[in-house]
Amino acid sequence: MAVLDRGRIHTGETAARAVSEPSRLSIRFLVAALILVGLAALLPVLVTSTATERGAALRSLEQQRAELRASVEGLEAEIAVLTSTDHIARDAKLRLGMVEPDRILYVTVEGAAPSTTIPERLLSSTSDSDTEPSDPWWRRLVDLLPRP
Amino acid sequence: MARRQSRSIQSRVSVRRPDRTAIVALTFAFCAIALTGRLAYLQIYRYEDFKTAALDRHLGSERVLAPRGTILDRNGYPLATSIDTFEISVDRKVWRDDPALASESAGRLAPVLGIKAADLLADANLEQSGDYVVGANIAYDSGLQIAQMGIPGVKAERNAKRIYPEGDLASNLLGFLGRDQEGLSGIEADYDHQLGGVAGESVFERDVYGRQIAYARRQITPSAPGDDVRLTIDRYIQRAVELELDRVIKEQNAKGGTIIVEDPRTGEILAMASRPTFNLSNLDLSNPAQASLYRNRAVTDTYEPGSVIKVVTMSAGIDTGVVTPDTTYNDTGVVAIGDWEIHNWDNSANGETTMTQVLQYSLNTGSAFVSQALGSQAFYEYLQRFGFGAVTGLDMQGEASGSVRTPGFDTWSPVDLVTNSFGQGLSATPIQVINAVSAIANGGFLMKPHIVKEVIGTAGRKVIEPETVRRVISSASALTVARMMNAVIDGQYSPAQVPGYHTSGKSGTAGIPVPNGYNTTSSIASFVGFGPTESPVATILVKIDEPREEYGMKVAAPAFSRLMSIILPYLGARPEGSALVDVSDTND
Repeated sequence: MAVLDRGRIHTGETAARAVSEPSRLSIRFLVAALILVGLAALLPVLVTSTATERGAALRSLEQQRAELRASVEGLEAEIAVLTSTDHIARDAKLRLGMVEPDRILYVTVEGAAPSTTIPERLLSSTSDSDTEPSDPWWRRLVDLLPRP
Repeated sequence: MARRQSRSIQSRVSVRRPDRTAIVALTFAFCAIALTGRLAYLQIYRYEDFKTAALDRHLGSERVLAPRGTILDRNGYPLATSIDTFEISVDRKVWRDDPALASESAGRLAPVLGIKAADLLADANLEQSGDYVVGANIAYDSGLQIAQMGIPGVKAERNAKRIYPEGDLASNLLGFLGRDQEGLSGIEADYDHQLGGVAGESVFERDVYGRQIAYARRQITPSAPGDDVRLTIDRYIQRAVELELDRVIKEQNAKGGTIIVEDPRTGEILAMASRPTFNLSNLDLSNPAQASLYRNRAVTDTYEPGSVIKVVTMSAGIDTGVVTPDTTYNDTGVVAIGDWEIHNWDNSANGETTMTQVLQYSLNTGSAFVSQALGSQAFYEYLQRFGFGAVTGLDMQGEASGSVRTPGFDTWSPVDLVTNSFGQGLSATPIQVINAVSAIANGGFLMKPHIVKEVIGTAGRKVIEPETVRRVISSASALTVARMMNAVIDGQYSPAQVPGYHTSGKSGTAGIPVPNGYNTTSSIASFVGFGPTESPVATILVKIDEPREEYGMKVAAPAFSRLMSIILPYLGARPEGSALVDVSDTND
């Protein structure tokens, strides 16, 4: 009986040990699974958060682009107004003191019309050939030496 | 007995009990079926409707305006361009439902717009529903500030404002836009498809006040910007033309007028102005009285051209060899056609007269002589070759074709051949007249006039090349007629003379047709010509409606001279003959 009892006891411990091993594993698995599920649940939040952040940055850039475009258009319009014929005429009168001609006198000059080519004497003395730098003294000296 | 009664009662009771249950069950069943049916109706049959309604409530959409293209002159200077603005409006319902909120919102909005909050509230409450537009073109910075403030009931939508850097220059040529940024007249309407681009759309989630929810879902369909349109118009010439037109109309107390400048070599219109017109800077679309000012009279209105047609008659005579510049006829001062008598404009009789003198003195009898020598078939064939009676094909809407009665018409009579030869009894548009004379300047080639030089888009450039319609007369005939027309200006004293240049031209004075005759108290005075005679770079038509003085040579020729004096040097035409020195008449 004792044997039996011991055996029963023995058998009971073995069984308990046999039960506790898989349950520990199960708990580990369960915890791991929970962590994984938790992480998986957080993933969309992270993705959404990143997307929102990017979206906000994108919107900010779009806003900046729109503002810059509006600014460019405004400046272009301002330039156009400032270079308009009316504005030029007004500036010529108000700032430069010019006046509209009320009459133009034409004086006929007997003789041929001016030549299309610019007269030699009116050409600048500093022509391209004049402005070309002359050779340095050492090059002229080198040139005197016999060539190999 | 009692037991029998009790059994009968029991049996009655036992009979009623199942009936009640059935009724209740049936009622419940009916209700369940009704509810299920209703649910199915709402959830399945009306699914799309309610889905749309829910989305409409939750989602808002905004039209993303496409940046409108710029209209440029031939040298690239903008004549019409756009800047970004905001349209600020108030949802009256939101403000009406919550007066305290409305007051607070108005208090926040008013200072940004520089108006009084009380005035804003009062204006917004004038009507019960809909949107109250506080400003359609609020400056971009202010609009953006309002948009970022997120004021309840206040909507800030992107808009655009058309800017005209040259002011009212070429107003009825450029045209204008409606409130929805679509072209309503002129180039803006004719080239709306190219200028307008394609609008995009922004769909966003909105809150209970209709405001866009920050960082919520948003879908944007981007807009495609409009193309730029480069005209053949030169702003400098256009300005000179408009100043001159205003000057002549004022001097002559005229009803209106038209001036066109064309490059005869290409058919490019360098300037085109008509009066009366509207001001782009002060446009009132709600005023029906202004509607008649919107049309481009140079293209849409016809008139009897008068004696300027004599150059076409003479061209036909020269080209067919019927006459030469030195051909003479005996001008008795009158030509009899059936029951009709044709007289010269000044009732003169000039005796032996050359064809050049016919043009110089603008003799109706000489024109009758040429047309009769030509015959009706040849005369009308040349008239049609020069483009009369048909649209020129100018790239603008609303062009009129004018009318020319030919022998095929029931109402045509032989006297029409003679009257048509000096520009009466037919009608033409100013653009037809200048284009016909440009053909003489261009060695006999009729060009298709055009006003758009280039369309510049993101996809590339579309260049409009000059197009020859046909040869109307030989180059030798064209040069001969050009020299005869030069005699009109330089062969006698003429107010059309241009110092330093030889130019060619012809004046015209035409009656204004009224039922059963002509208006005897008013006329249309015109002058058309080109210069320099031997190598023309510009053709100018000056037409003045109902001037104080009657004749084209007196009214329109001086304007031609002044304009040519400005335009020829500007276009690089060198003075001919003796050199000239300009001496401005200054007081110093």
